[in-house]
Amino acid sequence: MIARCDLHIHSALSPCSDDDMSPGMIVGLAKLAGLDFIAVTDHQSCGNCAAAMAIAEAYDGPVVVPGMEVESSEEIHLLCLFPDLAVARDLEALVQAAILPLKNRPEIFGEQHLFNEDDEVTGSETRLLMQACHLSCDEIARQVLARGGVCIPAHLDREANSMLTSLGVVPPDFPTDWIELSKRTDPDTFFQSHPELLRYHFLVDSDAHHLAQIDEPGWPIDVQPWTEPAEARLHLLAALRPQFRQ
Amino acid sequence: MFTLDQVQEALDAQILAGDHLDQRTVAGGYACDMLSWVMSHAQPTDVWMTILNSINVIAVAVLTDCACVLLTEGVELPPDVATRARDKGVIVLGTQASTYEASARLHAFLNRPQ
Repeated sequence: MIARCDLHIHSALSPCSDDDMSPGMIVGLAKLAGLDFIAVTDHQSCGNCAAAMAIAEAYDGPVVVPGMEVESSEEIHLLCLFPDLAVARDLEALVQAAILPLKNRPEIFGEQHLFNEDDEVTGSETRLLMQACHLSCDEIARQVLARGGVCIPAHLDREANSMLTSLGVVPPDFPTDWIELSKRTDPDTFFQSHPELLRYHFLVDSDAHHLAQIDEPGWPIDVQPWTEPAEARLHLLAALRPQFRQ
Repeated sequence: MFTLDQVQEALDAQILAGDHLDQRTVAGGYACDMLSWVMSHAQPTDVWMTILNSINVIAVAVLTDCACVLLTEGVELPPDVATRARDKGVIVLGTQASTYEASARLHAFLNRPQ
């Protein structure tokens, strides 16, 4: 079936996003928008994924895929999506062991709120999440794939933190069949400038930092039918997993 | 030590945001386009030379409290980033010189015989 997806949404844990991006608000708006899948993808953390998954299941919301937007040593943003919370947490531990022990300064970067399953703020992440880790993009992709996840170069059309800006290319051996574009570009125009990337599947996500940005129609992805969320996550990841480039 | 207004004049750099350059002192520079390296290496008396001009540059300048950001290669300061710089009291200068040339000029100025 064609599933409607928005697989790149920042919660209030990301310092650059609004404080009202709680897991409950995100899930609620995604349900109103009629989305089948969303992914909560904060910078270097999956700290609000458990709350979003629990709330979505309690209120019959969209299927929530645990994820992270990992920033590599090359300052490339990678959309990392996982089949379950345990492997997401495992990758998070690896990434967080590879960041500097800098404290967040909310007055500069913004708040990093953590929420529980009742959508209440339970605390703040004190380490600064707006920073690169010292793992390369190749190493991150290898680790994500080894955990059954997928690692997609994020917002390739943007200047800041895109693989195209940092490396000049998507390396042919980078293990992905999918690339992500932001809503700031028109895909036709983008691919005219980058015909070499036409061999990839692409998806456009909202990269929402504000509630109003959560994607209304959602990006269509062909996913095998499912009966429950855990199965749905496996089927979505199967659709995104690289077939030829691993 | 020199004040930032002396450095700005010596480098013939344009002031893109900020004022009171005479109130900042300069003892060195840091040339880097990787924010994570700047975060962990730049000093408060450094001129940070970079081609990056995103909003995160201002955050990193505040975090490190570097004397100023010097945009090289004629890179422009987008209006929203300029506004953020002024809000946060970050001084941003600009030059047509490359980062290499700007570093060399800065080094020569700071180390000239008295």
